[in-house]
Amino acid sequence: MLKQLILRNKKLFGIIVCIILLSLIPVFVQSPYYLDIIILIFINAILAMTFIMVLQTGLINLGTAAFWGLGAYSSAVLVMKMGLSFWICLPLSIVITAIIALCLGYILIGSGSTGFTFVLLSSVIGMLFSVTVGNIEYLGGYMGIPNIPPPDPIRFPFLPAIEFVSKVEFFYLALFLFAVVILVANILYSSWIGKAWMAIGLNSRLAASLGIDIFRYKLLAFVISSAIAGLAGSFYAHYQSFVLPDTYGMWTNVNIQIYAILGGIGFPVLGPIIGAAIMTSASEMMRMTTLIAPMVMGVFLILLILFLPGGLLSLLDYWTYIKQWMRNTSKWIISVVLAGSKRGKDDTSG
Amino acid sequence: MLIGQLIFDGMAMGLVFVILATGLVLITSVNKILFFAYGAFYTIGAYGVWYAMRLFDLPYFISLLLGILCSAALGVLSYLLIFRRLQFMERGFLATLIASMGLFKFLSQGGLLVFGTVPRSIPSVFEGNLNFMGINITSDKVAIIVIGVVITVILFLVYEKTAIGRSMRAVTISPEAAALQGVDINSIYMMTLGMGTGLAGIAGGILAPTYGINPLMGANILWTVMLMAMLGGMDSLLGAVVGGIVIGQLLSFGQYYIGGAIQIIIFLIIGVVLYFKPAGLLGRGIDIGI
Amino acid sequence: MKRYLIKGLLVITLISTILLVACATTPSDTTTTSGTSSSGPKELKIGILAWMGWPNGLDMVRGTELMAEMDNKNGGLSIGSDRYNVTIIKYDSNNDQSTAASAVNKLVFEDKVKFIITDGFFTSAVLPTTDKNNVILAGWAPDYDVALSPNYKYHFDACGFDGIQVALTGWFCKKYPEKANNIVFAFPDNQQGHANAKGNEEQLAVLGAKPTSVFYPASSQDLSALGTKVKTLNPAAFSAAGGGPVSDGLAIKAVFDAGYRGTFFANATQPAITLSQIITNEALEGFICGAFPVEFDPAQTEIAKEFKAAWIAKYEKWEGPEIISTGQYAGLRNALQKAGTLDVDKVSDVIFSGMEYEGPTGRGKMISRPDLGNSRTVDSILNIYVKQIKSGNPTVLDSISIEDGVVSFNKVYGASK
Repeated sequence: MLKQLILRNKKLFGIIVCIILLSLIPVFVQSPYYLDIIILIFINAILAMTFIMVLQTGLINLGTAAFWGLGAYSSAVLVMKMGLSFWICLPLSIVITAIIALCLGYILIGSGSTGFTFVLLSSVIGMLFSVTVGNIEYLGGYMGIPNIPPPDPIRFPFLPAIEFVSKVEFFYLALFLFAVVILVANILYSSWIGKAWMAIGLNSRLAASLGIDIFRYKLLAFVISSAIAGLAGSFYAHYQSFVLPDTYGMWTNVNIQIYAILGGIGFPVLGPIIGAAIMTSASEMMRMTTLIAPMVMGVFLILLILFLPGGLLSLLDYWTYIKQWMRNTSKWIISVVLAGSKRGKDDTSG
Repeated sequence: MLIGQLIFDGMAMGLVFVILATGLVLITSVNKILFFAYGAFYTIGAYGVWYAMRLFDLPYFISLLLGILCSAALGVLSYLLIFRRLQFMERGFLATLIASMGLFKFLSQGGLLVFGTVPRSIPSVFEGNLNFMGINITSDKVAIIVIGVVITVILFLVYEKTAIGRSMRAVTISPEAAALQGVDINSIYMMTLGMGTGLAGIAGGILAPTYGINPLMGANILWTVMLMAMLGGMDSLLGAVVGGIVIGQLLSFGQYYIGGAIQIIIFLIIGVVLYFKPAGLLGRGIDIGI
Repeated sequence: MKRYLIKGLLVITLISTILLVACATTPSDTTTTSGTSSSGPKELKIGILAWMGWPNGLDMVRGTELMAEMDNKNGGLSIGSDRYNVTIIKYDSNNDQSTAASAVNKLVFEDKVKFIITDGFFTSAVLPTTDKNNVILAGWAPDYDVALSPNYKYHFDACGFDGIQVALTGWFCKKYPEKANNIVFAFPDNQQGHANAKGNEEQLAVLGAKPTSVFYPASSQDLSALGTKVKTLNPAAFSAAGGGPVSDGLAIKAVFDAGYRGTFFANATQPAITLSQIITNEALEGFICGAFPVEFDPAQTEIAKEFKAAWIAKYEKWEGPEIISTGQYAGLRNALQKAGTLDVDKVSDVIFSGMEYEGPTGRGKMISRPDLGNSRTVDSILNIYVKQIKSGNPTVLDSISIEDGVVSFNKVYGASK
């Protein structure tokens, strides 16, 4: 019975096992520094996933950071100006982001835009965000909003209250949101909606002839991905306890896109996670080189994309070759060793 | 009088923008790359002129030529080393995005370390100014306008009348069809990237005597230039000219009447234009394979 | 679709229970490493967080490293009965919030640094981390009303940025009252510009001047329209002091080119060498501006002379670096020596009780901020010079003593709001 259940839902159980394994991290990693990086990886992975979600339908969204910022700012304003709790702000900021994304997406996608126009229009949104927020006094202008309180403690009967005082609690909250996003993405991709998105991305004319309403599905992808970005933003605002308009500027969009593409576009869930993990930790490691760190990073990016243009996960495509190669080399090594030992024997005997 | 002054000042910066925008339009439309590293070439061109003038005591126009050569050569080099391999790939657009971002990081920090943190200036080439009906006309700005117009005209002649220009236009519309007609797309791609980065170098070089140069000048220029190219159409040289001049004027008048918030209004105008004309004012629309 | 939803909900509840249990059982990492046992016997680690992609940050790192090297060459800092070699650990903030935050985490938790200096870009973003873990953070903050508030126990600003502004404005208002009544200030439309504009307006209103603030698009090189605007307004004086030397220089140049010929003034300390790279000597003639003792030739104080000589020995030439933030290191070093211990609380006690110190940017004194309800001396006032540029070279016009600066400062920030 259980075996059948597991076999039928392999992917789902895989995810659950992974989450359980991830939840053990704080037992081994106590340093807040590393926990912080892991939380950052979760957020970057979520953002990269939203980028890929829109990319599935053939749209390159250079405005992801704006919606991330929208989530962060709406949460910050709701907490600071209206005094609401984080647990109310989180869903509210998702709703706000989704509504704004719906309005904007209706205009952007509705104008019959081809792929390239959407790149430009979404990058206009990306550029607009930080300048606009910076000029609105109510939102703190360019100085941002400081001192955003951490989420209120979770209280359960018979259990000690969980207070957000250290990185460990934030880690679990981030992991929870991360798991939710992965599940939502998986459910979407394996349902009719995801199939329709993929069809549009592969050949939009063919998809239209099959009766798929392209406009509606593209809009759906845009709204859902923006709402997820808003969720990440709301968490990020409370985690960093500080929002700054420049954080959600244009270069962040470019970084998100790098995370998404480097992981591998063919893998809508695993790709962004790998990409975000590698890039975030790589940029941390390159701290050692201080002054030339951006240069090293640039060379790293160029080399990666030159030799693995399909992303890091495209290595999996070479799996059969790698296996073949490993078998051949191992054979060769064995033969060399055998020959050597034979000769050695010969030598000793002779 | 006031309006004349604003138009004149907007015109001078607008023509620098025109050169920058035409370069970006060439790269975007022919090579189909969103070239993030563009701003770095602008800085390199400006510093190339400065080094030629300071270290070798060359006259301005020869230094300008050297600056252009410097940035164009770097552009060609980057094509040969990086983009040649990515250009013909499936889903090449996304790969080139990352490669150009890496190139930007490398060049901009390298530039800061090589050029130093101190801003530089080049002595004015044309001294003197003229007061014409209350408009303060400095000869430096007149020189920018004249050089800008000359370069734009030359560019148009090359693009419209020569065999190279014809090939470029053919590659813009369809690289495969152009290749079938015997166009060597590889060399066209290389030449376009060189030309585009060279134009960025020219813009940096002609701007240097009037506005001074600093290592951060190219950091955010890309987004402004991209706006102009969007306004005119990412695949239309004429559109880039129109976009550059219009944004130059908008920035000039906006600085006077509104202040820093003018950027928001420019963004909104471009959003509206792109909504009604998705390919820009004069563009036809580019297809990219994603 | 329904099946998926039910399945998804089930899995989410499962995961959330797992996570809640895990969260409740894992011990929190509230262990704050106290004491200084972690740092080696004779090594004093000082962390720097700066954006090394812009001139101020890069020059701050270079200046601070140079001062540490000078200290080490003299046999190290003598703190208490021991001598310490200073090791500078520097990380780039990359002008990015999360990078800055993780850099500070690394400094605090991995490198176990007890003293951090920053260039001010993300002071408010990293303050909660450093303060909670008893780490002293020295840095100017754009939103000083938050960063210098009593909420933070271990933060101070010894570079005296606000103090310089106030002292210079006060000096100008006293010396040229009629000009101060009709002055235009230009700021870039970005974080730094808005931060300076905010402080500036408050100060000028109290000190009796009537300013007009003008904003121009940041990262724009052509400011001719700004020049035209200033010319039409035709104020008695024009000041550009809020976007770093490059933006300010471009603004001054544009205003001069537009034909404005009034008094050029700046209530900041732009190096004349940097300005003369952008602006012609003709336009700079008579420009009045604050200056550090290092800038003049020869430097005005002994420490400044030594620093300048060492800088030239290391980097070959003096090109007007932006060393305002080296004041942080000077203040910190002085506090450590006076406290005679590396204990964070004792060091901060010294800093917060009106410490006086001296660095390449001049003599300084810590001062309190009653307007923010902070009676501890967290802000600072420097003995600042006033320079007038004559044929491209800075000449000493006046020197504002710390006492005069304090008078102006108390006028502006003295009363609690």
